[in-house]
Amino acid sequence: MSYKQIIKNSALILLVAPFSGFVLPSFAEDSSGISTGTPGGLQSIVNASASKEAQVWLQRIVDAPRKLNYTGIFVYSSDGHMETSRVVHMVNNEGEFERIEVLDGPPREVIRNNNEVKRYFPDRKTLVTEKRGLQKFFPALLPKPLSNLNNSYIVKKVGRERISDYECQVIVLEAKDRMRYSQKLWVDVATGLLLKAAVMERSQVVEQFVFTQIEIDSEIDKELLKPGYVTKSTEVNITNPVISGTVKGELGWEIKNLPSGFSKINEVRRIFAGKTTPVGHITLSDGLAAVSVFIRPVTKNDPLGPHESYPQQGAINIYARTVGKNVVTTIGEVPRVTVVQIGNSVKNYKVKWTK
Amino acid sequence: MKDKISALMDGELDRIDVADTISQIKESEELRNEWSTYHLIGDVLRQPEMSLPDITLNIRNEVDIDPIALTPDIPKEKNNQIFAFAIAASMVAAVAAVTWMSGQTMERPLTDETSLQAVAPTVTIDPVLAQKEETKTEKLVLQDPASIRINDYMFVHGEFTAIRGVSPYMRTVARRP
Amino acid sequence: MGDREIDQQLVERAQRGDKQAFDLLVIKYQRRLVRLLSQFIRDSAEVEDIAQETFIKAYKSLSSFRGDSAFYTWLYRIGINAAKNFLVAQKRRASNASSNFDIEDAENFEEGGQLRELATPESELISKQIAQTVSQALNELPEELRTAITLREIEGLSYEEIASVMNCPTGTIRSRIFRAREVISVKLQSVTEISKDKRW
Repeated sequence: MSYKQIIKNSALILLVAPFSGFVLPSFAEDSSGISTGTPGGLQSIVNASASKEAQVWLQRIVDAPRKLNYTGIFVYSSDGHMETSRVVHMVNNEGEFERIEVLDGPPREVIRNNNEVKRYFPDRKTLVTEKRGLQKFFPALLPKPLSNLNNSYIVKKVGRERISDYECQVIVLEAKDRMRYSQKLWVDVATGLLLKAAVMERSQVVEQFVFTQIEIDSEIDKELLKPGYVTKSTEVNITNPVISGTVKGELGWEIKNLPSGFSKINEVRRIFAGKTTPVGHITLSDGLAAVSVFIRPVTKNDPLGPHESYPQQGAINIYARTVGKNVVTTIGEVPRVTVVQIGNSVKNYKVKWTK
Repeated sequence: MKDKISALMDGELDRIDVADTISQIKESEELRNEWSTYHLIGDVLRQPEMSLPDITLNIRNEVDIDPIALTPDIPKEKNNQIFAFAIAASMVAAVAAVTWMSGQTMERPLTDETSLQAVAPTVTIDPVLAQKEETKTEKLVLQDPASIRINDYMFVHGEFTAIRGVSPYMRTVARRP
Repeated sequence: MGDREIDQQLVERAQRGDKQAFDLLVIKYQRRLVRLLSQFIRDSAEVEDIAQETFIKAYKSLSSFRGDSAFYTWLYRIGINAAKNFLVAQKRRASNASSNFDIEDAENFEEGGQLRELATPESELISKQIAQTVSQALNELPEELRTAITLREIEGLSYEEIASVMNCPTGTIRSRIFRAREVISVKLQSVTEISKDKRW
């Protein structure tokens, strides 16, 4: 897809999104509804409506955290590693508040109050606070998640199971090719909250999270949302880390050879804690999985090698590459081959990094 | 009497009856069987498709062979901090998590152009953990700048995944700071 | 009084040396713990081993349990950590293993299989029969008994909450739940007679 094509699709999605309060099954349905080579028209219609039903469940998953209080313990596991965390989540007319605290190992926590996110780093005794200002936390202008899902996944309902005493509907999103992982989701029937999720490569579980205890929809004691760290020697505050919606100057960066199903959903420049040089951030998605491309100028201490491999972390693969005077880092919850293809497709168009 | 067991297991027995009922269960095989059966019924109702293991025998064997001396007086002070570390210290897993974390930092040391200036690189060792497990590395290692940068990227990236699970930060928080 | 306080009572007794009090806690939580660990470890025999190990670890470190959290929370944490250890060790074994399967390994594998009580067809059959008996007995209960026990066991409501739902006194609920349990228990006796040796 050419750069112009990408922009056009993004613009189209941007136009459509605000008008639909719902996932866009019809948008993608055409490609999977009636197809040649399948049992027959009627069967395809049945398949399509089953898939549509499954997508309703997916939309519930996306919506549930916006409306519910919940508190619980969950375990995240991958590659034989496991970590337990506690989450407290509250929604009221002042907005959305959340605290996640890792219970194993060194204390780590993230606290979110609407547009403000705090992270505490115990090893550096540093608290980093980001205030997003005008840009909403879940930017309303981004395309709705889950659009075009059917291009890349077969979505189906597969029965019910109990997770932590809650009855859940199990949904499977089966990858149609090897450029993405499959996912299996357990959704609380009553509230739509996601209680367990597994990312899979064929039938191997790559990473998983599951609530081992959860309480949904009860009053939240606000004390639980307060930070656990007391001592901190450094505080870093960043206000409005996102600088601009497009790169100032010329066209900027193009990703020529996108894997099937992926399209660009966001492009910004932003500041990270402790660094003065802005970093370009392009986000791609196939409707379920997201891949981010970060572009920053090379510094004098960077290695001169053409590319770097980082070990896979759960479902996340990372691939970095030097392009001219920039380092391009591609990160996503997709197989290695996908971040490599995307990373290798990034092309520079006379970028000017103006501050 | 059996109705008291039913109420006891639900936590609905009157306080004055509790101690007595527990004593009675201890002394009567029949009452113990009722406690066991009533719990079995609850387990089956909650998870009908599950197979029904019974691991009580092996545990009883193990506990009998290995009597432990329990202090009769339970210390009254509740020091949450020590409590948490005591549990962590006796669980090898805490160490595993930290060694895992240190194992995942990048090999090449990079110096970033502007790092967080105010903090001098320090290595802090949790004293309780250090006591219990000497052979393993449990230092809270200061992350090298490349790792810090990757973590920042992952943090920001997490917000764009369509189905975020618990929250956008689930992966990044769970991974490491 | 609450579930948690009962556990606390039993824990305190156990801490004072009352092993049978701990046994009652094992009976209460064993299957819930197994269910939890099954989320992470596929092999059911391994899950049972780890569950056993968890209870034993809990018993040995009972003196350090201060009641800051619920007993089952504390127990579950120990269980998760034990599962984690297992997975780490398993990974290490896998990476150390050569591509050729050692004869020695094969022998150990065989032996381990015999020592362990794998889910035999017979024990699976009994489990199925128990599940069927409970299900059938539940359906045959008078409606108010069935509702009461369902609200208690599956929804986890307190007697007071159930009384409010069913619009009757708490004492009546207590009685209904007990009667439901008794009826099902009697029907189970015929099944559990088969595997009598104090299994159930």
